[in-house]
Amino acid sequence: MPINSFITNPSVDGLYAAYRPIVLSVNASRTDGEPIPPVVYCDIYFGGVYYKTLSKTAFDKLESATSSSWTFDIQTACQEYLTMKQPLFNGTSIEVAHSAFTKCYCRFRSSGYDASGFVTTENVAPIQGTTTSYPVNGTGTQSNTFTILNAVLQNEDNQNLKLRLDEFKQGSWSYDASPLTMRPKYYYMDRGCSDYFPAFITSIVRKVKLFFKYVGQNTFHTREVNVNSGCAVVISVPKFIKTASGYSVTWDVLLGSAASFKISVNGGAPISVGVNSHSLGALTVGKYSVVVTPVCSGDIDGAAITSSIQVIPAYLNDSGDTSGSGSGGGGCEPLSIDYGTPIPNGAKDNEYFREIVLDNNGTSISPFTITDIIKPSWMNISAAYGFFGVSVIRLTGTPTATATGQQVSFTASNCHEIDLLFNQLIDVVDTGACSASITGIVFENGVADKLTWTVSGTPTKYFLKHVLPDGTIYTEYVTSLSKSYFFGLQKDEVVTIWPVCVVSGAEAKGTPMSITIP
Amino acid sequence: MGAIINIPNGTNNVFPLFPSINVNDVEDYYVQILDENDTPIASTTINKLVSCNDTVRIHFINSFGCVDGVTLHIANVKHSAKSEAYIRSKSVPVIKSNHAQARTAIEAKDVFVGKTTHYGENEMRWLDELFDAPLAWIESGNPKELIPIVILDSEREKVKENDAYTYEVTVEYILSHEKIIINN
Repeated sequence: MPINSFITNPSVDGLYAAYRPIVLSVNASRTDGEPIPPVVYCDIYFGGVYYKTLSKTAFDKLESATSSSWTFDIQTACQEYLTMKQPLFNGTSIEVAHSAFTKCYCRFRSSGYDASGFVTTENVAPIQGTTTSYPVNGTGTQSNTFTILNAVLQNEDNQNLKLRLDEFKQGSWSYDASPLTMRPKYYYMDRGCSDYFPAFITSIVRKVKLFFKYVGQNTFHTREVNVNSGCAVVISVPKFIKTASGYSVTWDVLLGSAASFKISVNGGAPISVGVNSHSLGALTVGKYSVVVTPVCSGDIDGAAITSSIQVIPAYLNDSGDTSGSGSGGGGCEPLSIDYGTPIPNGAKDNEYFREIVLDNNGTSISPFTITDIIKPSWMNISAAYGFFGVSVIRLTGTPTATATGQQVSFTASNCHEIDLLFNQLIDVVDTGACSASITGIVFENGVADKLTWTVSGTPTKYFLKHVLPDGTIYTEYVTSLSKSYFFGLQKDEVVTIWPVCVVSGAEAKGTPMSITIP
Repeated sequence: MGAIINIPNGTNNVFPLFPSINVNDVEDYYVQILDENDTPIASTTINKLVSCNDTVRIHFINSFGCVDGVTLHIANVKHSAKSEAYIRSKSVPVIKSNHAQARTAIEAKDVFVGKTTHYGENEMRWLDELFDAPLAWIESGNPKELIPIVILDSEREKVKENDAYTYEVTVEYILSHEKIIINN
C-alpha cells in the first residue's frame, strides 16, 4: 500500500510564505498493508525540479488498523531556495523577480521491508543536484501545486498570506493581485531616484498608466503607454534535470497562456514543442545556451529567456551526498565494512554464521537496501541490527556438500550515492567433526563482568553468541579462554560458547555450552 | 499561477516612459498597470515629490522578500577612526624626518545619520522593516549606483503619548565595505 491520501494539502495555486510553517501531511501504509511504514519520504520539487527530501521514521498517530499519519513542514527548504531579487537600478521595465517565488509540489513515498528485513522504498527515489550535477526527478504521490513567496508572516498576522497582503492595497487592484510592501498611502520621494513598487500579479500587463498632478494643482492628469504588445506570456527561468536519456529542460508559465514554445540550443534552429519541458537528449561535455521562447496563437513570439547548462566530465562529478532513498540532505555517510576480514569458508554439515558489520564507526546508516545478491543455495542473507543498533548483514545456513569457488556478492545502498559492493568466493570443505567441547562456564560479576570457560580438545578459537533479553543477537570470536565485558552483561542474557576448529579456512563447530547470566 | 513583479515607480524609472511630461513640474503621481481590457491590475501608493537638500535614498529588503525604499534627509555624518601604535627603532645616524611612533591597523568609517518626519504612527510598522532589514543599499556615486550599507542596531519609540502626531525617525548606517587605509 502506498500513500493513501492527503490529510493536509496546500490549496491549488495558493500563496504561502516561506517563513511560516508550510505543512503537508499524508495517510500512509506500509507496503504490505501494515499501518506503519518504516520511513515516509517527502520529496520537495521547486518549479518541477527536485530539490531535496525530508524523511521521517516517526509517525504522528495511527489512523486505522492499516494506516498512520505523517506530517512534514517544508519551510526550511523554501527559505534556502528563495532569495530576493534586486531590480535593475533606474530601469524602466516591469521586472519579474524570478528568485523570490516558486511553484512547488511534494511527492510522497512510503516504504516496507523485503523478505530479508531490508527497508524497501516505494516508487522511484529522486537524486539531488549538486554544484556539478543536475537533479534527477523521481516519482511518488504528488500534492497540489502551490506558490511560495520569499515572505514573512509574523505570529500576530493573518496567517492567510493573500489576505495579509491585501491589507496593504491602496487604490485600484484586481482581486488576484496583491502589493508586496506595507508602504503608506502617501509615499515621499525626491526627484532623480530609482524605485519599484513590488506586487504579486496573475494577469498579463498591457499598459502602464501614470496619474500625475502638477505643482499647485488639485487634479490628476493621466497618460498611458503600451508596454507589452504582442505575445506577453511570461515564463520562469528554464531549469535542467538529468534523465535516463540525457538532460531535459523545464519551465513554468507564470503569466498568460502560450500556444507552444520554441527551444533553441546554442543558437541552433528552434524546435517547436507544445508542453513546458523538452528533452535535450544526451549532451557531450560542454556549455550549452538554451533559449526558450513562448509562442502565442498567431505564431507571435513572446519574450525569450536564456538559461545555460554545463555538462562536465564524469570524473569531475561530485561524489558527495545525494538524497536518494535515504535520510536526504547532508550528513549521509556511505556504507562501509571491514574488507580486511574475509568471510570464512563453509564447513560441510556445520552451521555457517557470519555477520558483516556495516559502518564500524557506529554511525547510524540505516535505512539501506540490498540488491544484486548472488549466493550459494544453502546460504541465507538477511538484515539485522546488532548490539548498539549496529546494522549487520547476516550470512547463515548449513552447507551439505563440498564445493569450490562459490560466489557471495551483493550491493548495499543507502542515501549516499556510493554503493557498497561486496564480492568474495568461498569454498565448502569437509573439515570433519570438531571434537572439542566446552566443559564449563563461570560468570564473575564485577567492575567488568567476566566469562571464563574450560574446554576439552584444542580448538582454534571460540565463537560466542549473545542473545539479549529483548531478542537482540550479537556475536564475537575469542581466542582465549575468557572474555571481560566493561559495558557489562545483562541479567537473563544467554551466552552460548562454541569451540571452533578452523580447517582450510572453514570453521567447524564443536560441542557448545550455554550460560544464562544471573 | 502568477509572478512577483517590480513596477517602475521612481521618477527615474517611470518618467522616461512619458517623455512629454517634465518631472520638475509634477508634485504628486502614482502608477497603475492595466490588463488587456484596460482594467487596473495594481496601483502604487501616491508618490509625493519633496525637494530637500542632502537626501539619501535607502533601498532595503522588506518582510515580503522584495526591495523596498525610503528617502531620508542626511542629518549628520560622523567620521571615526581608531588605530594601534607602531613604535619604530631609532635610526642611526639620526634622520630627523623619520617617525618614532606611527599608526597601524587603522580602522576608519563614516557613520551616517538619516532622518525623516514624513511618516506618522500608522507607518511605523513599515519603517520597522527598514530597521530590521538584513540587507540595504543607498544610491550613491557619480553616476549613481547602489552601494551596500549596514543599518546599525538601534532602539526607537514607535508609539508615544506626547507629540503623537510627529514622529522623527532616525536611522544610522555605515557603508558595508570598510575604508581601505594606506600603510606607508
